[in-house]
Amino acid sequence: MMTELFREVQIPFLAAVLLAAAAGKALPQGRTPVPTRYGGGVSVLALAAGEALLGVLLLTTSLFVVRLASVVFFATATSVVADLVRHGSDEACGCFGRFSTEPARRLSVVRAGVLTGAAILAAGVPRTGARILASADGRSAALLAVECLAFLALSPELAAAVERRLHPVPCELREVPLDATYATLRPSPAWREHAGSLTSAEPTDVWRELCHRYLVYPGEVDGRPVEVVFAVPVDGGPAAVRAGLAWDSGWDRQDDDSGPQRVHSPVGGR
Amino acid sequence: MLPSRDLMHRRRRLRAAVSGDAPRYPEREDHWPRRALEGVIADASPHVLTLALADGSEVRLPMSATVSIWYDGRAELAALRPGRYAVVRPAAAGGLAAEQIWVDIARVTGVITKRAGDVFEVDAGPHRGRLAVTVPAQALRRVQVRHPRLEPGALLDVIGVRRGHEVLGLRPAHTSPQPAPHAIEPASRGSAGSAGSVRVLHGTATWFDHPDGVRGAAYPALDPYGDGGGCGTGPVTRLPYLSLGSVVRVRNECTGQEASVPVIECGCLAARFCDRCVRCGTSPRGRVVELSRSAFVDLGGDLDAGCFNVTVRVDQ
Repeated sequence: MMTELFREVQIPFLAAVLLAAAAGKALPQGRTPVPTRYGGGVSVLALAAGEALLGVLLLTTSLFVVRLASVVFFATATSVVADLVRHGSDEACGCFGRFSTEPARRLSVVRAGVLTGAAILAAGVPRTGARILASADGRSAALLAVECLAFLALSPELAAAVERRLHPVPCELREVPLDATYATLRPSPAWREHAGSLTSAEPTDVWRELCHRYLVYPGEVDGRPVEVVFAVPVDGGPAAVRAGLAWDSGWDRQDDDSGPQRVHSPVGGR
Repeated sequence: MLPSRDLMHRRRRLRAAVSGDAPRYPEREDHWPRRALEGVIADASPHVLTLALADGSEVRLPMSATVSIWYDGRAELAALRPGRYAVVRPAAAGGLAAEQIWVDIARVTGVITKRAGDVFEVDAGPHRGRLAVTVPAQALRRVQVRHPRLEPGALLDVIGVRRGHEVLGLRPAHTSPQPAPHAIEPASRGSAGSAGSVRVLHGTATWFDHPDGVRGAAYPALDPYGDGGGCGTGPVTRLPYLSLGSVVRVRNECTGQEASVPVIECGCLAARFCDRCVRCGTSPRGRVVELSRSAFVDLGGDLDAGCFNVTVRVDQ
């Protein structure tokens, strides 16, 4: 009886894990790439949609095909993560989107393996996840809670989150990919203010110093060429983005000068 | 890519456009503490050394009475042969009197990729490419004191003499053994607490062979994205991110001399060396900056010693 109950509880548990994983991947900041080795054109959003579908199907049907699909899914995930760990790759597994940013570790493999085991256990359960939840009593609720706790204990994401909270990495030391910088820049008021005067969508210079990344775009203001500089903070939101205009140094000297037009002017003279 | 000094000025100007401050320029070149000179020896007599500099000019340096010459160890005036390359430190008293001269000094720092007898091919990182260094039999034992495993995959850092296109590695540049990986402390939690201490690095400065004889620094943690100039791989140690053209304030803890140095290259391999400099006490951490020959000598470093203890401020 107890074994039967334990097997039944796996269905809502796996559904919850799948839905959480899908949500983690679909969150706007969560779209970390699938490990490149397995990228092969699979977008993170497609993977998230697949997980969500599988989670919902586990709750609503008792079709053996769906159960089998969940076993195959978790087994594949285990082999992917195991492969990452075996090759000593620094890539994150991305299992829970933005929550899984640490490089994959053995613990991630163990967790994926345990989930595969749970999927195998649950393969023959005749009832749907929703039915099991509807008829849940105290014992099954307690089992589910214990299982969730065990799952969290096996999750490197939790340890990483606690670590981040206790010891935040100073912004100077944080590695920030360009995508994150653009994600902060584009919705910012500073970008909206200057977007109209830019003459190119591609920056001419992008560099980082400590907690800011600087992006330089060519622009034109009142018919004069100008460089628009954006300073995007590494750890701030779009509101903290600042912008400034750098006039070509040749123009300053030429303002009230009736002399010949200087066509080429050196930038940043000594 | 713009030349480093132009890039530094351009980025300072652009940065100032955002911050609204007037751009702060580091001291002009003529305010460097003591200016080292390097060039090809055109002529040498017991009293005057004539150097042909990279810009085509010639400079005549009087020899100080206590001049010390290095050519694979302490050498006599005879080592100053025309055609050899010399790095000269002027006397502290001012003027151009040569006080210390290093002749044809070369350094090879990197990962051994191939060994054929006493010739080693060394991968010096993406910017510096592969170099060949010969470790003569009589120097092998000395080098093995610091580099017991002279095989592909092992780190090598030797100082030697350049002979034509060949580098003879004659002594290890390490001044302390490479500690085992587990012995390396991560950047301490306490020091990561406040912004000020993250931006002040106490460690080791070494020098690298920059072919153009410029003054500049190679910094291990350049931004790998955009035009930051990084190595493509993240730094092994935790250092604040900078870019080409950033300026670091370097202070030699052994002599007290300090100067602002522009970052001209990524020190891709520096972070892999975990040795400590023991010139004056033991440096608290490994290599945080590599200086070009001139910058290293300007700041009071001895090229043959290979390193000095340093404090680097990155928030210039």
